[in-house]
Amino acid sequence: MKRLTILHDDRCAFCRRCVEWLRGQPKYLDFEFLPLESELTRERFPELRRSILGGELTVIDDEGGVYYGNDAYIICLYGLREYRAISARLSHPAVRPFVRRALNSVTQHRHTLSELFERV
Amino acid sequence: MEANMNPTVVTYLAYLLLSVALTIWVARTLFRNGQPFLDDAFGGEERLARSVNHLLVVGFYLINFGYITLNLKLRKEVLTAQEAIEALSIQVGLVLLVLGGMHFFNLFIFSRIRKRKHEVAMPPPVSPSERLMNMKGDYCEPNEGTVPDPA
Repeated sequence: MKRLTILHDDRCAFCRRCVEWLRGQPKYLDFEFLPLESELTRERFPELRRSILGGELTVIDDEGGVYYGNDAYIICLYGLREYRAISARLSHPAVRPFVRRALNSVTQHRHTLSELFERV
Repeated sequence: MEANMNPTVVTYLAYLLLSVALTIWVARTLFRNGQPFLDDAFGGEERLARSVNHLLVVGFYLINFGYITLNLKLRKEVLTAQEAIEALSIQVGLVLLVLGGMHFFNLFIFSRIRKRKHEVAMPPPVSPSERLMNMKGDYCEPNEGTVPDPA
C-alpha cells in the first residue's frame, strides 16, 4: 500500500478542517483528497456505489481496497508517521467496539461539530 | 596535609567516591542491557547499534558527572560525624534521583527507537470492506508532507 485517496464531505466544515490537519502531518503513505460528491470522484471510481456514499468518510487505497466510516478514520491514522501506533491501538479487538461507536457518532454529528467549529 | 582533612573534606571525598562509583555502575548496566534492545531496533546492524549505544552512554556519563560536580558543595559546614553522614545522604540521594531519572529517560529512548522500527513494517490494522476492480485516472496531487519511507 503506497497511497490513500480520501473522499470527504466537503460541505462540512469539520471535515474540511480534518483534511487541512491531515495535509500538514508527516506521512508514511501519499494522501490524496477528493470531495465525495464530485464529477471527478464518480469518474475515477465508477464502481463506488452511490448508495454507500451517504456522506461518510471513504478511503480508497492504491490497490482498490475501500474503507468506510470508522475503518476509514483508522486507515488515515495508519498512513501518518506520528499516529500509526495509535491506529493499531484503536483497532485492537478489546477497544474496537467502543472506537467504532465513537467514530460513528463523529460521522453522524459532523454537522453539529462543524457549527461548533465555526463558532470558535 | 593532616590539618586539611577536616570533616567537610572527608565528606566531599566520600561523596565523590560513592557518586562516581554509582554512575559507573548504572552506565555499565545500561550499556550491557541496552545492547539487545538496540540490536533489535537497528535490524541486526550491529555496528550501528553499538555506536548508538556508546554515544548514549557517553551522554549519560557527561550529564551525571556534570551534576555530581555542580552538586559537590555542602550547604553548611560539617563538624561532627553525624552531620557528615546527614550531608552525605542528602548529596548522594540527589545523585541517585538524577541517575534514576536519566536511566528511565534512556529506557524511554531505547523503546522509542525500537517501536519506530516495528511501526514501519506494520501491516494495515483494518481490512477493506470491498475492492474496486477498475479505477480511472491518475493521482496528481502533490504531497508536501510526505517523508520517504525509511524501510
